[in-house]
Amino acid sequence: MALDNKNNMSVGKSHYQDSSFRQLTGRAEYIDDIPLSENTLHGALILSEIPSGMITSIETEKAKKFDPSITVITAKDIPGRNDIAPIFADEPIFAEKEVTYVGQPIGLIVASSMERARAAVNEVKIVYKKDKTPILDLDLAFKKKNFFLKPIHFERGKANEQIRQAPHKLEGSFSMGGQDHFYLETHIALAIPHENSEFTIWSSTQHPTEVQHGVSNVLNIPAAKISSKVRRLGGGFGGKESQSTIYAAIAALGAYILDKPVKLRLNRKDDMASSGKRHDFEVKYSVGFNKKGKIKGLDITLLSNAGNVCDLSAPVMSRALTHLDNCYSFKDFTARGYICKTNTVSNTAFRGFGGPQGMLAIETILERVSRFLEIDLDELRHENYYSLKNGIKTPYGQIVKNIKIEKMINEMETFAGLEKRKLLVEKFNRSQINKNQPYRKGIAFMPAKFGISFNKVSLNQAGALVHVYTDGSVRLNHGGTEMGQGLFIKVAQVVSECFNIPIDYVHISGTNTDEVPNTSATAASSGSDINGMAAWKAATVIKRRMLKHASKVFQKPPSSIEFKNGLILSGNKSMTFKELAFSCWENRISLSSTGFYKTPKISWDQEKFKGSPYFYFTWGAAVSEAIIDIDTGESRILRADIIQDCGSSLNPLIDRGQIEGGFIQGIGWLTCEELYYSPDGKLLTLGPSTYKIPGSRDVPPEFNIKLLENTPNEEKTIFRSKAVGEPPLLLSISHFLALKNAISMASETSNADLLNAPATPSKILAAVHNDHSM
Amino acid sequence: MEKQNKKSEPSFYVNFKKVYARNIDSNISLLNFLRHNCKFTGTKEGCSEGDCGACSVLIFDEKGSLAPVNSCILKVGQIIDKNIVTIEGASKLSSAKPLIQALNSEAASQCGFCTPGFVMAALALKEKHKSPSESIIHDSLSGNLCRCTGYRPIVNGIQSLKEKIRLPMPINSKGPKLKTAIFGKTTYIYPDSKKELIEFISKEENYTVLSGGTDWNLEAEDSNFKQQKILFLNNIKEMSTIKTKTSSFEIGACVTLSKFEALCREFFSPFLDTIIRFGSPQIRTAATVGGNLGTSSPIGDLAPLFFVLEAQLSLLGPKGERTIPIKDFFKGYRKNALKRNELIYKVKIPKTKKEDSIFSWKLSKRYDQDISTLSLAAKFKMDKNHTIENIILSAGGVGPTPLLLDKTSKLLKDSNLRFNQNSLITALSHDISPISDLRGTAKYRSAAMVGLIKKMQRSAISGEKQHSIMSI
Ligand SMILES: Cc1cc2nc3c(=O)[nH]c(=O)nc-3n(C[C@H](O)[C@H](O)[C@H](O)COP(=O)(O)OP(=O)(O)OC[C@H]3O[C@@H](n4cnc5c(N)ncnc54)[C@H](O)[C@@H]3O)c2cc1C
Ligand code: FES
Ligand code: FES
Repeated sequence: MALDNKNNMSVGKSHYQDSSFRQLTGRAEYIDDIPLSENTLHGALILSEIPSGMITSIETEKAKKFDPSITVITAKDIPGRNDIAPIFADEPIFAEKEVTYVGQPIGLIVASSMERARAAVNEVKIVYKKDKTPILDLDLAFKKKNFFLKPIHFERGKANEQIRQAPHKLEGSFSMGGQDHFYLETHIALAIPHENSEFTIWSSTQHPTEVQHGVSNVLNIPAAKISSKVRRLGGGFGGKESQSTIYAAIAALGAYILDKPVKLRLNRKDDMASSGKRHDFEVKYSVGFNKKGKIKGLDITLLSNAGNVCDLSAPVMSRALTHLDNCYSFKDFTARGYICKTNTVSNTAFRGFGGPQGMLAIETILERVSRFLEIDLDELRHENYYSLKNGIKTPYGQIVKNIKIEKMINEMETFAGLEKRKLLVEKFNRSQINKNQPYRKGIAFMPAKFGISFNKVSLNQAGALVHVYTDGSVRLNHGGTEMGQGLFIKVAQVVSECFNIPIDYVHISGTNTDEVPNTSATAASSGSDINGMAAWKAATVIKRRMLKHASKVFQKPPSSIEFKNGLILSGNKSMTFKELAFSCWENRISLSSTGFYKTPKISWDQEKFKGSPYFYFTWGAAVSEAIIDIDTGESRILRADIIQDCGSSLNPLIDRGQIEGGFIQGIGWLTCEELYYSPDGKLLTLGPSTYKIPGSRDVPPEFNIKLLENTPNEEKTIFRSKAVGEPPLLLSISHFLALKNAISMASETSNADLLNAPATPSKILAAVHNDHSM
Repeated sequence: MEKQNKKSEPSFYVNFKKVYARNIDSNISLLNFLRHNCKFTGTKEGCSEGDCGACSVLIFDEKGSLAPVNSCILKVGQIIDKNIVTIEGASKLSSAKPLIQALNSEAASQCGFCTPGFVMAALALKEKHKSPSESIIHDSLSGNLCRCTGYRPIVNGIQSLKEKIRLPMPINSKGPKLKTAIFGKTTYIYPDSKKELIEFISKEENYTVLSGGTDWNLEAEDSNFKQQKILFLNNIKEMSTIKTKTSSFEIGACVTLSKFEALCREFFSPFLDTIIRFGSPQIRTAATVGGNLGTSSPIGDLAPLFFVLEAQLSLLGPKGERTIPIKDFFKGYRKNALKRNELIYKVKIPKTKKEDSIFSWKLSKRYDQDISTLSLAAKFKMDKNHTIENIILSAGGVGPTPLLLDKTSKLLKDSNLRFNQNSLITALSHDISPISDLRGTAKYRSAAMVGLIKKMQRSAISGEKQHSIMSI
């Protein structure tokens, strides 16, 4: 297969993100920068102020007095269905009678400027009949059995019997917080009405097709009349997978009613209040093990906070449950997943999609067992790793092939010098204690296995459209969206490789549902896997036609003709790619083709929770070294060493960027990013002044990254590459383990078990003082 | 708005061209003006609260040197006659090109939304430093957030460039100074002498005093369309300068934190760590000393420092100046001793003596660009026998106002720093009354205050600076 070609023209080269230079000079156009026609109006959202209750009235007189030209739009103005649920039903864009979280959109005010619209919103008063017993946390939801869907329960072997018979057992529970995506560009949509009920919707979305469907449903207009577009997103991270549909549909509703373009850009506060985040989880477990740390039986219960509607919470839970095994073979294993319904904002996709929560659960449990047994965590892991000896079947039935754990551990030892550093850390801590100094270090390794594919089989498909023009330029379009992750350049590299033309022959165009329909979200790290393959197929169809024609021109068999660096070579004759393209046109040969790809080999039975949902696994490993200050609970990461399996990387520069950025985002989730709610369910951390994502100094001063070498994907992916968007985020769990390691050496009384995520100064100090109530 | 004569129309300079602020219906921010009126859309809005840096632009100060500032929380009314440079202007300058190239080569831009802001911050840095240390780079980037890259490519890009950047000089604006300007229903009043100031406050009642606006422009977000008068102080020379006297410094209330930082660098270096963490370079360009005290917030970072330095505040009212010690200034949660029509005119800080040691520690959830969860400042004097002669402790974030820790100071002095933990906890419990909020629980604040006192104790006993984990 040509895909394995080693002497590449473009693929495997470190090209820059396609519009990097324009971004650096302020010339890259985001949706808020699109020049507007003069009649464009601007929207601002009216949001609920209570977590649960009924709306008695919406009083807008004062707002209309402030500016009589405003329009107020609410649920009753919707011509179609007030529902944009991505999977299930009943997810309204506007609360109609009942509100179910603080920050829920109730209506839209449209005015001549955004500032006016917002000022008008401040004048709106909503009268509610408050529900006195809103459900604001997981514990209460669990107690009240307030769930979405039937709880998932799956088992392999006889976990509870094994736990009972095991020489040692532990029980416990812990919690991990959610995370705001904090893309720098907040949600935004611009809806433009045209003749014949056609609409153009520009929105910052990872899922233009779902925007198209959502708008179609809300306006009751066929999808074919709705053109959903996006050139680039100012960050997505999962937060613009399903959530952007809500705002796009609201803007479209405004445009429909007023018959004018309407732009809806959320300010940061409204964005953080109304849009979904990473699910916070609660973990309950019991585990039985022998003295060497071999896990005999494991029983884990996960509670996830879905928020007010189900959205993507079901597949998030599935991914969490299917990542509880991480790299370990558990023969006697029971897991339960409860998707809890609460009166908080609906949580959604976020880089890792439940995977990080599942993996943090198992790593925390193993870390506790190792401390309990007073054995090294890595020795304990060895007893349990997937291997021919320990077993290679996951609890959900997929066989783990091409295991790279040993390879990674070996490479890591030379890369990071783990064993020596463990001793240095202990020495440092002893000397700090002796000198009555407040610093303690900790160090931890972790391996990670991450499954690639959407957990829902039907989503694993992609389309592309390639045109070759008579001047030899190539226009590329596909269903994937560019949000900084470098997808566009990677797919362009694939097309450039296919025709063997310089990369700048390939013109990258923005995503839109007119050109490639029925696409999946750019999510699940699958962007380059599936869109790259679709583009390759489209380009290959054209190339075959061009080759056939070239063979006629040269009067040589196709096998003797080579496409090389923008030239078509045959013996000592040649022509340029442009000449061939022109000649094809003259001879009435089509230079345009679509391409379609579906991921092979995957299967999943959600009912039985069994199957092989992942086309392949990526592997990664990290060592983190942390330091804490036991006077104050402050902490930081001092050094990180990461090895990530990218298969044969399509673009090492881009992949490194994903690894660094993903890892730091994970560090944020586990340390400084805390979503803080008032007792009455109001999120108080509604902006960067209170919600702290990592800054430049929070990056480890020593940060070593390596792509696992000589590891082409064993599966036939595009040029044998592997997905990289999400997996590195999970490696940040090593830092959480390193923090626990530091706490465990803080003093005689410190208690690392108390540390829940995120490890804020306050939580670290609580664990150091072994004081629950701090 | 009625047609105004060009000379009396508010104007300023963007990318070396004069622009007029015409047909404006509200108290508009510089960011919105740039994006909507000038169509300079390279400057982005990420938060509109001064914390993400996506809106950063450069502003020339009176000496013609460049500083980054957040255009989202700066009003057009505050920058009349000033020179602003945006990414559109900067990226055309040949001197900026190597920086942009360097950032490109390191893949410093992923989604790109934060990028223009980083370019602005980096330009300001590279104008001052040829090859800044990593720590100085972090200081300079503390006002910019990036969610994609993990920052390292940005830091590397800046480091890889070994030359200083020279930017052109601003356009010198002379001509008639405006006395007032109107933006929608908001009127700005621009006194430029103490006399004019006194005249105004003697006859007017309903107005807001404004300096850097880094606090008030956020608080008053909802008032942009409302009738209001804003008394802008920064044009009064005497209020914007630091005077060095024999035994003290007289700091005008409108002295920016950047200028105060320079003063600390020379004379109060133990405070520097705290001052460099006051907001970000962008914030410090605008934020003022008077504004920080004016907010009278319990977590303002300057108050504890001024408490231990025993600063005197000079307050100006219709009848002239009066002076009070800072310990009499704070009267309750966001309440102060200012009478009606009175404002802070100057802060007088006695110079520290050779024998005096000072200590300060800011504790926040994130090290950079974060509001203090709590803070501690101390000044003490040790004699030759290592006995404490006197000590003043002050703390922020542990009560409704910034506090003096009298009981605790006494304990430290009486025990000559050899107190036991329980007596410290008891003493503190008399001095502080922390609450729980999103920055930390009351219990955490109490426990961490014990930790900070221990740090101060270690520093006093060893005579060595205590380093934060972010700087070891
Ligand atoms: C992103 C960000 C980060 C910040 N970080 C910090 C930090 O780390 N530490 C910290 O302490 N603060 C911080 N602040 C708060 C703020 O920047 C400071 O309080 C600053 O010193 C305020 O000065 P200003 O000139 O901008 O005040 P303004 O906003 O102009 O005024 C603030 C208040 O004081 C009044 N006032 C102004 N001048 C006077 C005067 N001369 N006399 C009487 N009253 C007056 C005003 O009427 C207003 O009520 C931060 C703010 C932001 C937006
Ligand atoms: S927009 Fe975030 S600092 Fe101005
Ligand atoms: S590149 Fe996306 S936020 Fe910085």
